[in-house]
Amino acid sequence: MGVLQPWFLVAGAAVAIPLVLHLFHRNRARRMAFPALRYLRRTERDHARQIRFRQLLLLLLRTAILILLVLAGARLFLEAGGTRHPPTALVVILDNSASSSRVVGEGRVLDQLKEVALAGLERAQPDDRVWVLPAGQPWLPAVPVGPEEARALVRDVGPSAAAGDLSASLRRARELLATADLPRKEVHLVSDLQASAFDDGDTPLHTGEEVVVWDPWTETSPPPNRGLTAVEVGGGLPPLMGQRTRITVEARASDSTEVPVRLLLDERIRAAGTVPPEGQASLLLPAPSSGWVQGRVEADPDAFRLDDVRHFAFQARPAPGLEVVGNPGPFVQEGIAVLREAGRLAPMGSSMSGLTVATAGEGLATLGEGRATLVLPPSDPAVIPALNRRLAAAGIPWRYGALQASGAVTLAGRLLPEPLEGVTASRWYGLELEGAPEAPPRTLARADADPWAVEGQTSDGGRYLLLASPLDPASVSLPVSTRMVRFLDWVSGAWAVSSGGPGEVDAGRPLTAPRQATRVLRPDGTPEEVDGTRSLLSTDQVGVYAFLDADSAVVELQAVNVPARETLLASLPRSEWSTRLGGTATPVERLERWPDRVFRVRQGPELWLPLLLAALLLLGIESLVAAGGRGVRRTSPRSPAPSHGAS
Amino acid sequence: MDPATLSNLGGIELIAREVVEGFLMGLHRSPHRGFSAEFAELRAYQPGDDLRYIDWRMYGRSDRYYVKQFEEETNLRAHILLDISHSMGWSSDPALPTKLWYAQHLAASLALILLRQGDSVGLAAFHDRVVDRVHARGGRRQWYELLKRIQRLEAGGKTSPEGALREVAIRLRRAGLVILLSDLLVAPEETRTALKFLRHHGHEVLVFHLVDPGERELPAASEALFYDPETGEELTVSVADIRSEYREAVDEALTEWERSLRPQGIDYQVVDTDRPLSLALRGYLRKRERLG
Repeated sequence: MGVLQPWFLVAGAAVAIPLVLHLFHRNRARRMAFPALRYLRRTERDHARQIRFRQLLLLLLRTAILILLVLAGARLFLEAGGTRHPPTALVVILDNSASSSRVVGEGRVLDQLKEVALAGLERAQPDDRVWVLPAGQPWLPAVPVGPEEARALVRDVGPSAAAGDLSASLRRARELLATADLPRKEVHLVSDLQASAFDDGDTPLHTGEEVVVWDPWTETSPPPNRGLTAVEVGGGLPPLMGQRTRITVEARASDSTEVPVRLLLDERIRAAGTVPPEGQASLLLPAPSSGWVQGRVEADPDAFRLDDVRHFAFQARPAPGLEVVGNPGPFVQEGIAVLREAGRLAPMGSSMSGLTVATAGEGLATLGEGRATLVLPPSDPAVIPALNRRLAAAGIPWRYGALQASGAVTLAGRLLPEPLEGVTASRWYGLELEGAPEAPPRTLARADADPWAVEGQTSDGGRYLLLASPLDPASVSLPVSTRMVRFLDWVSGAWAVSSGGPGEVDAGRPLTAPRQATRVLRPDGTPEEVDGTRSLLSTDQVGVYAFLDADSAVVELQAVNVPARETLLASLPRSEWSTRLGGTATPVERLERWPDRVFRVRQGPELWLPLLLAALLLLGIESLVAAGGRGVRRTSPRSPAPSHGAS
Repeated sequence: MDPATLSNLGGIELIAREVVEGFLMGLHRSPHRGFSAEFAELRAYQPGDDLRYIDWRMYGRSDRYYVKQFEEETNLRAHILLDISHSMGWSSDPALPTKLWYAQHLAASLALILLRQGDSVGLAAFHDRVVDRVHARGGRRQWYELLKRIQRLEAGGKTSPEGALREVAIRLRRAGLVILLSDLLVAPEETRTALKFLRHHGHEVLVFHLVDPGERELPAASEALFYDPETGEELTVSVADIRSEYREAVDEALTEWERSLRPQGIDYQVVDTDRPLSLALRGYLRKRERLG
């Protein structure tokens, strides 16, 4: 059974009225003189059991009448035998992640999923509220719509190259349903149920929350797939102008066969090779000339095309100049030596743009327009005041504060540079902003909520990057990791000279627009303005995104590829549903069964009329029982037997 | 006329006369039937005898003083026992007279009829003891005396008629008619015993059980805290739930009174205080006719 007006059930509290009257009303009874009290005592004595029984019966009858009236008002209905269902808040999670673009039989998985979703929405009624959540496009806003608009939304959903995070989608569904005040709530999970789309976090749904799951996958074995999972240009260091380098390709194959790959630059095959399963191969990249280079690595196509290609883009540039002032320590010096040996750094010339490594602020005096400075704090806190004076003299609004120490804290931040990912810090100086700079500084990395790496620009155009920890192993893990060289390369190259960097980004992750960029060209050529957030969220296409300045010159290229986990097509086993889904999951294996399994609480006939009739019947019985107590006034109440005395 | 109308007529004398006249007119019988003093015998004069009753003819014939002996000047010595306990002063409806008002007027009416018939009438008002008493006499002056005393009576005290009835039984040396006017909200067994005691002393006993309509039918309230104005006892009752049982209990109580009194030769009549006084007088009349 279900109810159409659940708020009316609140009136069920009225059931307490006869109980309260029954239990407490005697205390508020009217007091009246009555000399014939002995008759009352006699009545109570002689009929105590009968009176108690009648009172109990009346109490039950009145309570039952109220319950029946409340249920009638709440519009109780039978759940079986009808085609209608109570107003339902429905979230349709339609998985349009990259894996849904694979072809099964004669069509894409996504087309099949859309057909299922539409079949469910055909059963929706105008008083339902529907949210359509494309799992591969989590950045899209969720707006409640009617069934008709929901069907249109589903028809418009296209494949996304992003990974589908179904756990996040289910959590979002729960939050959306929590805002709805409709009597029924339901989730339709229409997905290929990729196991890799679920995380190990908390169970997304609560016990009792209905989720109907499209699952023809459990009965079938995972489809074979071969896909590329990563490409890396130059081992993480983008090649310089005129340098030959290699591209590392990683692949995954479900059938343990080698994956043939081809390297394409400007639509021309430049190299080819084979990648062993779960292994990698290197392809030789021709020496690039100056400027941006974009290309892709392709494998032979299979049913899942999106992971058969990976794009890359990098900027080939001359080796940047570097000047070290002061003693930055052996690790920095060694890293710089490696980069110089590889030809990735050149001695700083007077007119050359490049980076100044200013240890303890020494050399900040040269900071000016076109110059970039990496400020490293000293290991000795006694030198901090001198460093702060130099910062102030150079017009940098940041000041170093007290040295703070804790356990190893992983650096984090929305703008965290790739070479700093996974780096931990254990000692750092507090970085405090002094005054209000004209150009707001940016915090690139944080250590336990404290700024760890901040960048900004002085009023005369000089750029600075301040680190909160000295680059020694006692303070930060970076110097003793392989990332040290990449960090120095990134600082001297990508950060100091250009604003973008090489590497690939997973589809679905936001891209940060460079400062000069005013618009971006998506891989399909669609232009999009760069808004105030300077973030591009809708990275649902694989390929190269080109950030352009106002003169339509390329500022930066960013390669976006299918997340590697999308190549794993195995579906989630049902044994893990309870922990990964939560709620009450109903699997549906066949399309023709789907319409019958959704909106499971079907609205059969409403019961208000029988309930009302039953209430009236009980009311009649109650009147009779009550009249039994009150009695029907006799026409001649003065008719006791001895009314005329003795004869 | 019903008591509510009568109570607007005026004082007790007027009302009693109105009732009696109306009652007797309705009967089409002379109220003076048997009103005479009949000569019985002569006896020898004794010092102290009233000189007015010396038979001078016998003295002329026999030269001895004889005094004329008459039958009793009245047919009957009636004693009205009037309950004036606190409960008698109650009325369930302000438009209705109290039970005491009804009893006072019934007593006055009975007294008027009795006196007109040549009977002598006495009065004893009581609650848990006799508080006022008028010796039984006949004649018009007795009527006014009775009216005066009846009018002075006010309800008060607890009802305990058994003591008063025994006291009356002991004081009445000659057997007569005892009329008890009471609501009988008393200890039944003790009261019955006392009435039997009166009967045992040769008295004819007529009990008028005054019942207010509000005592037969509970008031229109779902729940009420009832208290006895006489004893102060309280009882909370769900009126709606016991209404019919209460009515049965009252009927049973009244029936019990009749069942227990009739075998003893005690006449018992329920008098509802919203019914005309004449109905009660009929009960008396039947009793009086039986007594001859």
